[in-house]
Amino acid sequence: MSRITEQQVKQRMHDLSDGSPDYDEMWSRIQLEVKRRRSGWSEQPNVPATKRGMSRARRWAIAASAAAVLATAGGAAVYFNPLMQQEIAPTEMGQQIGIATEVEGVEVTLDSVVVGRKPSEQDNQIALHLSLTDVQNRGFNTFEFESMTLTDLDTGESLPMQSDRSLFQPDEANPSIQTLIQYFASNLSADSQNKKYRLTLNNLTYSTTQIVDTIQKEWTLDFTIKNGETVTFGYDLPIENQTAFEQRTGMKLEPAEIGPFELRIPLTRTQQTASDGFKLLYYEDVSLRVDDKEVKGRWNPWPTTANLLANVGPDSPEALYFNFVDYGLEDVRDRSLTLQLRNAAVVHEYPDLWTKVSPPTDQAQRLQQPMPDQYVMDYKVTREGKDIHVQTLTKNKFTMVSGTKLKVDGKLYESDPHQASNKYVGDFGYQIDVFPNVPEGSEFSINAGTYRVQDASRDVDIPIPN
Amino acid sequence: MDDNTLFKTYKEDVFRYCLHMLRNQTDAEDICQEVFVKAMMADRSKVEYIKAWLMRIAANECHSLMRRRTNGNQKEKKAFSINLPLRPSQSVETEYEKAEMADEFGQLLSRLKPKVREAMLLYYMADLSTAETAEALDVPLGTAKSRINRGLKMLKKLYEKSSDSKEKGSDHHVSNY
Repeated sequence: MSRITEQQVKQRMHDLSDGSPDYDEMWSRIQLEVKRRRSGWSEQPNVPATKRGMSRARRWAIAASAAAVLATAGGAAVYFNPLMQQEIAPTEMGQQIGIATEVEGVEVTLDSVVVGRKPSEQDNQIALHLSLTDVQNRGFNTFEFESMTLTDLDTGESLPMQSDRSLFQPDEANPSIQTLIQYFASNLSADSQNKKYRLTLNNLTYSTTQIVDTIQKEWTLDFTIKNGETVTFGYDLPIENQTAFEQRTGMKLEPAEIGPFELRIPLTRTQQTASDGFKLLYYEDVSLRVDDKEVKGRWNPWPTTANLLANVGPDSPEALYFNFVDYGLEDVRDRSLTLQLRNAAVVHEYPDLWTKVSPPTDQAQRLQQPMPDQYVMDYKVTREGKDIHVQTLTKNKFTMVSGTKLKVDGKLYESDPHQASNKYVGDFGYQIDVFPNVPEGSEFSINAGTYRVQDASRDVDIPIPN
Repeated sequence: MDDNTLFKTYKEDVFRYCLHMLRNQTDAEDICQEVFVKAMMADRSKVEYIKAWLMRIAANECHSLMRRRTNGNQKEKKAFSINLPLRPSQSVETEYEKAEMADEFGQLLSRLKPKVREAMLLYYMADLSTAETAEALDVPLGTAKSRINRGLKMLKKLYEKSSDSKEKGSDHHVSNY
């Protein structure tokens, strides 16, 4: 049986084919695209102001008034479709539109529009909730448009579509209707004026069990996004009862910012350490329970080792992000919300705890040092010429951060970060610190430096009053 | 680092990652282009580790495309099941499949699940550290390590199986002789 080593795997990964693409042509296309976006895109760098959501009754009143929308199409029938609005579950957040256009027996309806911040980003996006009906009921079951364009009628600018396909899917509740939510980048903000848009869909490919064909036509829908109240940018919810969280982390949760596409919670590090003196980096597992549904979140940006060593936080403000789009959620108002934080990554350091070592030789010397937190440091110390190598055993939930420190006859030696290496080889791994040019001496000792452990005792559930 | 240097320095790492994640040359070219467009549009002045940052963009773009393809595939499978292509103009990975035939190791790699494969590519091919791999994939460090370890074990196993079947084929040939 032939075996392959990890080193051979690495080498073969390096040797993987790149398919010989034309990099010069690719570079030309990249430059053109950058030029195009720079000339046509106006990004919205500021975070839009958040506002408290409307009552359900008020939302319905606005939805009804928002039905007064422009509608035109070249040669195609365009009309309001009240029946459709009854059949399709209304979008709670955003603006109801309810206009439709029919071409050759295929009717496309723009049911509603939602505007809000993109998940994990500062820019906004527009979500168009579309539905499609085969009016003559010919049994088509697959519908995809070749292109979909959303044009700002004031500027003539086309908004970038977030995906590359316009494929409709059968509605779960009513399979005779196909639905699609299409996302476009947007610079709309809460204080924008009314904006007129034109949605153009071109060339529909459809199929039945017997036929695949394309309608080479255009479906056009004009509509207006109302400013202010009709565009829901979300609302804030203060998080109360944070005492346990603050004690366990040294951090504070800012009010949760709830939008149509995500919930985010900014974090502030109010203390350098938790109340027990340990520094918490982040929680490995972050989730939001929405009623009985679990939405996995992410902590971004994660504090890096470099940040930690410099005793500073990440470059940009930290926050917890929960993407509703990935979980098919649209509106969490009136729903129970609980933040769940599990498996804290915590940094431990015992600067006064030094482990005595016999003067190192070329024969590895193994030492174990029980730590006050119950972990056991496992060292191998070797002299290689003028250098001292200290190898430390690590585990899945136990990793070195700063590297070890070495003292010889009372003098402190720093390891060379450029020569440090670490390797993970399964459930265990190791880190090697290299201390260059260390003279012979009589009293050697090692300190573990900072290391990271996973601490489930800091798990916490925090209800978010909604 | 200016835009051109950025592209020249990292084009191969980014492209190869995209190619072996997406297993389609055209998709890989599109995504690689998008990665560099985004990188060039962004403010890189505060980016400390440019390669890890670029690979993170690449991982996100590949995720995004694969997610869209997964949704679309349900419809496409339906169409293919009746021997009628949904979009006749779409080719089915032919270019890459040809290359794959000549690349045995790439073929083994392609049999790993995408989540494992992406971790392997970032760690072994792009030479990111485990922490950078975790950051690029937006997963906890432990998860990244676990995927790398799992991927290594699976690759070794696949390699052994592949070697075994070759050896058996070889034995058979010898016995005939």
